[in-house]
Amino acid sequence: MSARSKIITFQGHENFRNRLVFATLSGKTIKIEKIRSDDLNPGLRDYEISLLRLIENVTNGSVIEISYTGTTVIYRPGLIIGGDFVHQCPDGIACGYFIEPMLCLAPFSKKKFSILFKGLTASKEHAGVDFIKWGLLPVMEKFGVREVELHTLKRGSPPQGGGEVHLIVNSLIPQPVTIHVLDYQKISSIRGVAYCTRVSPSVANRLVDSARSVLKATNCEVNITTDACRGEIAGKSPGFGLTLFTESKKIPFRYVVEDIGTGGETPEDVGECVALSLLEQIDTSGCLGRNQLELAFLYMVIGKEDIGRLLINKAQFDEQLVLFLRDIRTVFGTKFYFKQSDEFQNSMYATVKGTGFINTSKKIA
Amino acid sequence: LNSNEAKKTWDINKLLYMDNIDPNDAISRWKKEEEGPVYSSPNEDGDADEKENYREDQDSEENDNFFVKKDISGNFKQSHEVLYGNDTSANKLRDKWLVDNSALGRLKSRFFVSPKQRL
Repeated sequence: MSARSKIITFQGHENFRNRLVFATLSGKTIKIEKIRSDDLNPGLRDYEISLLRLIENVTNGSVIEISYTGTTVIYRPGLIIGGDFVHQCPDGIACGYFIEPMLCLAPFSKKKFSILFKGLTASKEHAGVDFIKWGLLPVMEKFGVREVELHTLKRGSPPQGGGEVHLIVNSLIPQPVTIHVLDYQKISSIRGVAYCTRVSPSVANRLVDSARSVLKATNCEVNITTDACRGEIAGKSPGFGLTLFTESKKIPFRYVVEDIGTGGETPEDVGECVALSLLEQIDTSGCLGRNQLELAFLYMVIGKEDIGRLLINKAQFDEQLVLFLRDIRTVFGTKFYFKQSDEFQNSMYATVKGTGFINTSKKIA
Repeated sequence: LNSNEAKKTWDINKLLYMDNIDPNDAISRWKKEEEGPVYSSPNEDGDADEKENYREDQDSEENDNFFVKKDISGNFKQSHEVLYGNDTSANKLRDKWLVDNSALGRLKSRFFVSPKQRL
C-alpha cells in the first residue's frame, strides 16, 4: 500500500476539532478538503488556524500543510508531548473551543500539560470554563483520568475577553478504563455558579433568584454560588452568566447547562432560561448530557479491547453526533451499536468495543 | 415478515453509517419509523421520488401544525409573546415546564430524589 492511499480524506469544515483529535490519537494522516469552498470567505477561520498551532505545540513532529486558499489541510500527526504553554485565543472564540480537544489529548501525553489560555471564558457558541470544570472533568474521572484541574484566574466576557484559565493535567495514563453505565442518575441536588464581570454584583443575585424561582417546583435542594468579579480578575468587558449542574450520589456524572447574557437580555431572562434548559436537558438525556457525550464516546473508543456500554436518550441523536460517529468509524475502524432499552422509555444502550489504544509514552504492566 | 415489510424497518445502526444518507435525513427516517410505519422505505431506483414525497409529507405536516396552533392557541400565544418576546425556543420550554405540570411531575418522579429519600 502506498503512503498516499493511507491518507484519510474528509470533506467540509464540520467536526474539524474532532478530526484533528482522532488523527492525533490514531497517528493517521488526514486530509481535509473543501473547507468552506462555496463560502464567500473560503478556507480556514483564524480560530481553526489557532487550534492547529496549539496542536502543533503540544505534539512533536507534526506536519501541517495548508493550501494557498486555505480550503485544504493535510495533517500528519506527531507524538503528544505536552508541556508548559500560554495560548492566546483569538477574539470572539471562548477558551473552551481549545480546551475540549486538549482534554482528549492530554492524558496520553509524554509530559504533563500545563496550558494558560487567555481570552473569553464563556460564549454563546462554545463551552465555557464552568461547563468544562463541572461537566467534562467528572466524565474524564470516570475513565481513570483523575488529576485534572481547571483554574479560572480571570473571567473574560465577550466581546473583549481578558480572561485567563489554567489547565493542568497531571494524570498520564496508558489507556482509559472501560465503563458500564446502564442506569439513570438520581438527582439529589442542583448546584450552580452565577458570575458577573464589570457590572453591579446584584446582577449575580438576580440570576440566582430567577433560576431558583423555576427550580423551586422540583422540590430539590438548590445551591447557587455567586462570583462577582472586580478589578483585574473581571477581564475587559461587562457581562454575566450562569452555570447550573446536578449532583448525584450514585453516579459521578452531572447534567450541566450554561448561558451568558448578551445585549438586551436581563439577568432574569438568562436565569430562567438556564433553569428551564436544565430541566429540558435532564428530560432528554441519558446518563450524560448531549454536550458531554462526545468526550465519553471517544474515551470508550480508545479504551482497552473490552465492551463499554452507556445509556443514552434517543433525543440525543443529532447531525453532529452522526458525523462524529461516522468519523470515528473512518479513523478508528470501529462502530457503535445501539440497542433499544427494555427498561427505560426512549433510551438506548450505546455499545462499542475499544480499539486498544496505547499511550506510546507509557508502559502497560 | 414478508420481504416488503422487512424493507420498511429502519435500523439506526445501519442508517447512522450509511454515508450516502445525510445525517439529518438518517435521523428523521429512523424517528419516522419509530413513530409508526407511515413512510415506506425508499428503494434504490426510486430514492429521489421517495425523498420528494417525504418532504411533501413533512411540509404538509408543518402547515397542518401551523394552522392548528393559530386556531386553537392564538390568543395565548399572543399574550405569551408580549410577556416573553419572540424567542420561540424559550417559549417552548416555558410552555413545557411552567404551563404544563405533567412534564415536571414525570421528571420529578423519575430523576429527583424525593425528600423522604434525602433524609
